[in-house]
Amino acid sequence: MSGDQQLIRAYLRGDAAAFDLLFARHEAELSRFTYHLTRHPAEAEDLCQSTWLAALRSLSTYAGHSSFRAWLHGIALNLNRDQRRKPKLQTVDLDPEQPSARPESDPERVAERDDVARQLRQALAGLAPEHREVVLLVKMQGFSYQEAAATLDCPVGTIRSRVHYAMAALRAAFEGTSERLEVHHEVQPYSRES
Amino acid sequence: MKCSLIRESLDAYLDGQLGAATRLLLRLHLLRCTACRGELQALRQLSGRLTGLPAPATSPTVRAAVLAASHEAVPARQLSRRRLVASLATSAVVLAAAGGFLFTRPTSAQAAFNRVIAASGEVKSCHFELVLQSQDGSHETRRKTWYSDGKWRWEEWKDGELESAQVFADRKRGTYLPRENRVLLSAADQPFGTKFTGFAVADMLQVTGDARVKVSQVNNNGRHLNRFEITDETLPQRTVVFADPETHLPTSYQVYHKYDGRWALTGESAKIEYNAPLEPELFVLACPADAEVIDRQRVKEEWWQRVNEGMLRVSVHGREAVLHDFQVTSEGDIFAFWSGPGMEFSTLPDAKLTDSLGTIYVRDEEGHGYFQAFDNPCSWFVANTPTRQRPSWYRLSVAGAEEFVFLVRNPIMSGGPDPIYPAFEHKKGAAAFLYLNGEELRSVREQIREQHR
Repeated sequence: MSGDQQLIRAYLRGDAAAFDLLFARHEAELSRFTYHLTRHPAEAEDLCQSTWLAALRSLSTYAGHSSFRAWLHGIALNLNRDQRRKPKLQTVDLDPEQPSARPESDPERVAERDDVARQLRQALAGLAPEHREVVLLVKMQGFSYQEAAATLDCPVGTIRSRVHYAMAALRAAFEGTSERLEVHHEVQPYSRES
Repeated sequence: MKCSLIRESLDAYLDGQLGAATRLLLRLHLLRCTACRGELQALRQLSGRLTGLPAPATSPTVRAAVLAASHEAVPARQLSRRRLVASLATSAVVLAAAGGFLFTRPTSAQAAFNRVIAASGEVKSCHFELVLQSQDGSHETRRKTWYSDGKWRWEEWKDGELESAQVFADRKRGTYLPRENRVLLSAADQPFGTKFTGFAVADMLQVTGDARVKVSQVNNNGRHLNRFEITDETLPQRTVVFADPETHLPTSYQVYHKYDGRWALTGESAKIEYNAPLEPELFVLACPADAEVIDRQRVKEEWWQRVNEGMLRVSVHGREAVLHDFQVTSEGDIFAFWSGPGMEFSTLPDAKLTDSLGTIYVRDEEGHGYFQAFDNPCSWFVANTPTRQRPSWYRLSVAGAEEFVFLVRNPIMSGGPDPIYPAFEHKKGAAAFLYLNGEELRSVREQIREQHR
């Protein structure tokens, strides 16, 4: 029995700390995934929370048919797809705190300082959803093609071709903007006179 | 091999997905072809950038919400939401926690299912068995639940062996683990684990507000029943519930998960009985006389008292050192903390531990303690030669202004692989930092043992 499955059984028996460990094992990975899957940090937080709560609710019938990690990512993907299908809603932000209030830990600030990361994130966001999903699962989260196929519920061959086309599209988008970046630097040389 | 074919396979090559023969052909081509090597390099670079993309840590709000939900076994109902969403339809999690009725503005199928949920919550007693199969059918898990008037018993059996038995009654929860011959007791307001409502049948019907419900009438061996098919594509999971059309109570229940894109039966009810008188002995947790009983709740409450009063005091030349805590974990590790003259603020306290069995204890070079709330020395001693036997005494010698020796005959048993201390109380926000969480604890433990091999 895998470590995750042991923790789930312990939790179902009433050992609250077991879920803490399960959460600790997977939280960073899921946060990273939901952040790059959605286009807005607040959406990412909502998705992350909804995913964990959906998993928590269904632990009693989680049959261990896929790895916990793959199951968790699958839930995030399904919730994200559901969210994308819905009409955009008016949301009232009750929390006045903006992400920029935490500059040191805010990855947007860090990324803005790092132009490469920003360009890449934009290129990712511009991908078709099925391409973005597979790139994130395989390239960022390190899923094997088999795991990705199980998570996305499609054949391994489909994963392979999607990875290929997704990376080609990503390169085109990213390398295109990178070139523009270099040109921009070239036309603004350092000048002693100014 | 043509460059165009090679280029199509480069991603799969990078991802380790090519067979040995194809890999070899590809490598041979790369030896000769600068252009394709360039392509591979570009792909490799992009892959590297992807894995290196920054991302935020889990938001503290999310962490608090999820851990609170897991500890209290209460879904989103009590969690704060940052946003008020204009349409209820998206608040699937909030809806599912509404209690009682899962669907607001329901379709007629959902309304009919609401009646099943309501009826399940009103029975006086129930006995319910659920059988889950592993994917290859080689393992069977059986969950048996008995419920009567707010009392609850739950047993989990794996391949015919009892894995655990739990009883909840009178705001107390006890779990018996036969393999460890141990009972864990804690105070509780509700049964734990899967049972949010305290009633197994209503519980199993927890689904998200987004689940699709289909209802049909079937004739099962001359008996008319309502058949509900509830599909939750999020997980994905399908539940089929057969219910009596007059009482609305479920008569049987099936769970399906998706394998290779097809729904496969992974669990079904073996027994559902309602309102039959249940033996009172069912709701008393029985265990062998020699079982170890650990009341973790009581240990937590006593922690402050013990720490404030001190477990042991020793005096040398009129100077006193106090042992505040000394816990033995299920791994045979010791977590201890003490205070005394000349020991304040020491990051790697000078201490040695031995016991009656001659166990070798090692500590890591960085002096990991188990909490940072105190400035006094604390330490984690890893048993490098653990045995199943219990030492009859421990000898902890610590150095400060003098050398002090604590002889411990009655250590606190933590009842698990980790020590018990208030920092596990996630509700107490400020105390909810863990110097090491359980997972880090395990991995550091192994490293410490490795260092000393």
